[in-house]
Amino acid sequence: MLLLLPFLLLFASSAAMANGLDQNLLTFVQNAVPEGQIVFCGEVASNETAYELFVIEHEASRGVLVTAGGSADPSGKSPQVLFADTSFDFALSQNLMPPAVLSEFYALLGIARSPAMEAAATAPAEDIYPIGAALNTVLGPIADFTFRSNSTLEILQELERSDAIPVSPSAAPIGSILVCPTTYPPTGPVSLGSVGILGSDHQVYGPDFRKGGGWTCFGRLETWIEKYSAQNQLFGFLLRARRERAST
Amino acid sequence: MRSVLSWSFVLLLIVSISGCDDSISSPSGGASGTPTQNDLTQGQQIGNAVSGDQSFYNASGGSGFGFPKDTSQFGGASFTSDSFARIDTDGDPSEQGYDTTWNAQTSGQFDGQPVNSADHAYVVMSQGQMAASGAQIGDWALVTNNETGQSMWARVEDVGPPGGTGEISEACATGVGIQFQRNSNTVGNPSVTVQVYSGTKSISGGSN
Repeated sequence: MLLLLPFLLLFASSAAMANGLDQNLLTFVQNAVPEGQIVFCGEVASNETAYELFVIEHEASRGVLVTAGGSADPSGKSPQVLFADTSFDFALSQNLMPPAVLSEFYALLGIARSPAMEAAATAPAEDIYPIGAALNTVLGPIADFTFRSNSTLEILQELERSDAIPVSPSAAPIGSILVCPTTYPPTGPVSLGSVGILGSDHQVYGPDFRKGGGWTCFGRLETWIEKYSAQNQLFGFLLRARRERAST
Repeated sequence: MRSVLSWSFVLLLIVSISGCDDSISSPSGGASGTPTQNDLTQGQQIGNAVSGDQSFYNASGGSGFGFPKDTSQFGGASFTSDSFARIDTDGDPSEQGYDTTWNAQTSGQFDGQPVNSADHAYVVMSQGQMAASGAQIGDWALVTNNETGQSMWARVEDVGPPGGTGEISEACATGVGIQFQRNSNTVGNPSVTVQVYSGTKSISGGSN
């Protein structure tokens, strides 16, 4: 972090910003995020780029949206979507924005994390929408499988890199992990992703941020597919059996 | 360096769903292959665990302890057994006179009282098993019915004879779909896997 300081210039936005968003940015975000509630959390500038942080809440999901080129941007560029997902983990691993900006964003969200910290061994329970942590409570004890991230995009990568068996979501066996990764084209529309598990009653279950991450039913598999496939690619994985029993 | 804004406001609430092409994909990376029976059985366990009508997450079904709220501190199981299920009725006053090995007391206590087998999902370990695995009274255990895949969280709450395995409370048996008679004999020969996680007794339980 200290090495980055000379290259960063984080400054306070104008007083005018405190009373409302720039109309261009407001319109841009309204158009870029077609559904859900959006809360503007703050703005951080670095290296002549202004980054605006929004929190998106839609049904059981919660995520962040970062735009660049807003009203305080000295370069005068048009705003664009820089990142969106259920956690900053993917932005961090892909170096999508300076670590110091991420630190500021964590602080704005009241999350005690730092990009300078080593990547977590397990997905932290304190996050914007701790999907991975919720999945770990089920998958860890049964399958000895642990996600390291709460980001839908990172979770997808973790599964792709594991020995989990890819399955078609529409024909997924019970217990499959279903992933709908977040999509965020530069000009929108932003679609917040979802991760769930197919229950034995053929309904999809996942954590609900409104219940503090408690599990909730997302509806029948067909309904879940119909809802999310309209906007995102869907993926399914069945974890390989890990049960190693030592009879006594 | 300092943060810029700490205020927030609700910007808008728009609900609209835009239609696009269907797009269900198989991942480009990852492993491939056909699931084995073990994979499917494990999947069934996972599916049971998340389904709202299953006992794993439903403490109201008589499990008493619910499920651990935070398993992030759980490592691998410190003790695992796979054996025929046996029912421990200790702590259940209604079993006096029916179960020849019945005992009013249990090693663990709940609210200062013996842990009632009919009300709480618990498992039994021997002193030797506890010493070897580091398990203590109150640690969490995952009990799985090997035939059906039904799973349930329980706690270690009683100490049994040396070498005994698969001994679970009435509530635990009911929770994983195992039937038993008043004399504590099981119906048929169901088998269970018991996985005990040592050092977890301080993790509180909850229900969905």
